[in-house]
Amino acid sequence: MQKKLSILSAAAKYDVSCSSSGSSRATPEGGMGNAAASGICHSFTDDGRCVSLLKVLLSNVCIFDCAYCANRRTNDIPRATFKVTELVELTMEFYRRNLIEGLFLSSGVIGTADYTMEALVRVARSLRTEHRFGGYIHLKAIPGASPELVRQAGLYADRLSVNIEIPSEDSLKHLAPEKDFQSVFTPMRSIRQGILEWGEERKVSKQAPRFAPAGQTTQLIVGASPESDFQVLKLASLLYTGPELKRVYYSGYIPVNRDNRLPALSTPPLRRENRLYQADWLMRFYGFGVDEIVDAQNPQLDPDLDPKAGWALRHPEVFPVDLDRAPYEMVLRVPGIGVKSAKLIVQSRRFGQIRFEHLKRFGVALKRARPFLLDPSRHGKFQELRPERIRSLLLSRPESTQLSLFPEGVPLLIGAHG
Amino acid sequence: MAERPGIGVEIGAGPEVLVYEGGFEGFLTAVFEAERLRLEVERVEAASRYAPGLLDTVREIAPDVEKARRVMTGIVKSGGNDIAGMVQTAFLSEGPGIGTVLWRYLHRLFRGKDGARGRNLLDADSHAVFQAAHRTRHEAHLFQGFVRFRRAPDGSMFAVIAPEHDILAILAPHFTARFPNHAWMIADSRRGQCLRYDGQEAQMLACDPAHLPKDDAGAAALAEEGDGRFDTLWRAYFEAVNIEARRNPRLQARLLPKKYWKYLPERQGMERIGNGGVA
Repeated sequence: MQKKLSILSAAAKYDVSCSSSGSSRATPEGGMGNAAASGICHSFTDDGRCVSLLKVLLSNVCIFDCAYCANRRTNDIPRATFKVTELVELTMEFYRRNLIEGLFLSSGVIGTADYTMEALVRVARSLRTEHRFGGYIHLKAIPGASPELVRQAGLYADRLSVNIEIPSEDSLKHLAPEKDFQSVFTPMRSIRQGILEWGEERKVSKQAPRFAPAGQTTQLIVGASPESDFQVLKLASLLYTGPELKRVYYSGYIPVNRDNRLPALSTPPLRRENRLYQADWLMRFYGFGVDEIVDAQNPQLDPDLDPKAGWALRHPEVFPVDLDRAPYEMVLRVPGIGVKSAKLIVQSRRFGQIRFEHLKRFGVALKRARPFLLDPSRHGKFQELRPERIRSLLLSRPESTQLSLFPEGVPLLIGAHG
Repeated sequence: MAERPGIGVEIGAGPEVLVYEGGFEGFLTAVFEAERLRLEVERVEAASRYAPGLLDTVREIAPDVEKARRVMTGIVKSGGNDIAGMVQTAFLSEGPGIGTVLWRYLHRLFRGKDGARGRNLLDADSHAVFQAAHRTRHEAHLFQGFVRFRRAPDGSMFAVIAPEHDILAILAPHFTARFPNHAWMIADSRRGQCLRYDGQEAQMLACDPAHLPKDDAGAAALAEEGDGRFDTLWRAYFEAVNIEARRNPRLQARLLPKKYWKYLPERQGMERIGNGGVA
C-alpha cells in the first residue's frame, strides 16, 4: 500500500492544482466531512506548495504517449493501480485525522477513456453514497470521455477539471500525438453545460443536486512549447470569460523525459510562472484586461518587473492617484497596494485624510506606492512621474524574488509585491 | 498581590493598573468598573500575565457576570454585533498590551465622539484592535488545517496544538460541523485547555499541561496501536508529492511557520534541517 501510494502520488504531483476552495457542503446525515468555502491547507511541502487534498492517480498505466508526461506509455517506470476500496479507505482515514480536505483523483488512460472515467466515478460514488463522505472531491475529466460519464462525475464532485497542458493546438498535437483541442474542449463543454443545467434546476427546487459547485479548472504547462506569455494569457482570459473557468493554473515545465521535441532546461522557468500568476491575479481580482498586461507588440512579461508595476510605468498619465478621492478600481491599480489594503483605504477615508503612516499600517508597500501617489504633505504640488527613474525602485530586489505559487486561502503575496 | 491600602480606591488618585481575573468576563468587568468610577486607567492587565511594577497603582478586579453582560450589551449597542465579535476575537489574541488598547478603544466607542461606531481604522487603537482580531482569526484558519488527530485506544480522536493565540473556542464550530458523529478532543498544551466533543456537544475543559504530550512523538505514544500505519502512509505521501526541482525551504517555512512543527508528524524533528534559505 505504501509503495503504491508513493508511486501514484508522485505520478500526480505535476498537476499544480490543489485547491479545496469554492464549494460549501454540509456534513451528510450520519456521515463525516464538509467543504469549507475558503479552502484549507493542511501542510506545505519542501517546495512550498499547499497540501490540501490527497492528490493521486487511480493508475499510472497510460495508453497515451505525451512527450511532457512522466507516465507516458513508452517510459520504463514502475506502474501501479489502486483498488477502489484502497482509495476509499485512505481518503476516509486521512480525512478523519484532519490531514486533508478531501480527494483529488486523476488517472492515466487505462484501456479507453470511458473505462477510466467510469473507474474515477466509482470511487467518488462509493465515498459519497456508501461512506456518506461530505469532504471535497476533485475529479479529472479524462479527455475523450463520454458526456454521460462526465455528468455523473459532476454530481459527486465539487470540482472537475480537464488539463489543456499545451497552450496551442499545433504544439499539443506535436507533443501529444493522441490529443487535440477537440478532445479537451469537448469534456470542458459537457462540464459547462452540466453546471448551467443543474443551476437552472436548483432555481426551481433547492433539493436538486449540485453539479460541480466549485466549478472547473485547467492547467497550462509553460516553457515546454514556444507560445508567448501573450498567447498563454489570451487563452486563459478566453477560458475565464467563455466557459467561465474558476482557475487556470500555470505549471513551469520541468523536464521529466528526454525527448528532442522538448527544450533542454536546467531549471524550471519559475520566474516566468510567477509573473504569469501575477498577471492572472490582475485579470481576476484587479480588473485588468489581458490587453492591458501584454499585447502583440509586447508579447512577453518583463521578468524583472511585476506586471502591475509594468502597466503603471507605461501609463504615467493616470498618476498620481489621490487616495482620498480616487475610485476603488484606481486605488487597486497603484503598485504596492493590494486588494486588502485598497479596501481598507476606501473604507477608512470617510473618517479623515489618508496619510502615509496609515498606509504603512494597512500593509501597503510604501516604497513602491509612493511615486504614484499624490503626497498630501506637498499641498497638491504634483511630482512629475518619470518612469525611467522609478523603474529601478520597483525592480525585484534579491530578497523579494522569492517565488510563490499563491496557494489559495493564504493571504496572497501579490498585494505586497504590488 | 494585596491591595495597597489608601491607594487606588479614591477617585482621582492617579492612573491605575487594572488587574483582572477570569478571562474575557473579568476584562469586561474591569471596563465596567473603570467607566462607572471614571477611573484614570494606565493599563489593563490579566492577572495571569501581570508582572507587578514598582510604581504601579494596582486595582484588582474579580469577574462579575452581570457587569460583564452589561458591558457586552453596551458594545453591541454602540458598535453592533460585528464590533462585539471583533473585540472578543482581539481579546483572544492575548497579545502584549491588548487589554489596555481594548480599554482605550472601548472608552472611545462608548463616548461615541467621532461617530465612526468603532470603525475608523485611521485611529491607531482601532487599527490595533482590528489587527489583533485579524491575526487571531488567521491563526484559527491555519489550525483548521494544522490540527492532527490520532486515534486513542478508546476509539475517539485526539489532537494537541500549541497556538500563539487562544483559538480553541474559534475552532469549535468548524470541527463540530466537520466531525459531528464521533468523539474527539483538541488540547491546547500552552494554555492547559481542552475542547472536547462527545458526539453531541462541545465543551471547554481545563487540562493539566504537565500531562499533555510535548510533541508529536508524545502524542503518537498515546495513540492506539494501528494508528501508526496511517502515520507512515501520510509521511510517505508528504515526501512523494514534493518536487525536488522546485525545492524552496524558505517559502515553506513562511507558509508553515516552524513554531508549529512540533505537533506535525510530517515535520517534527525537522526544525534544524534546511534552515531558511539554504536550498
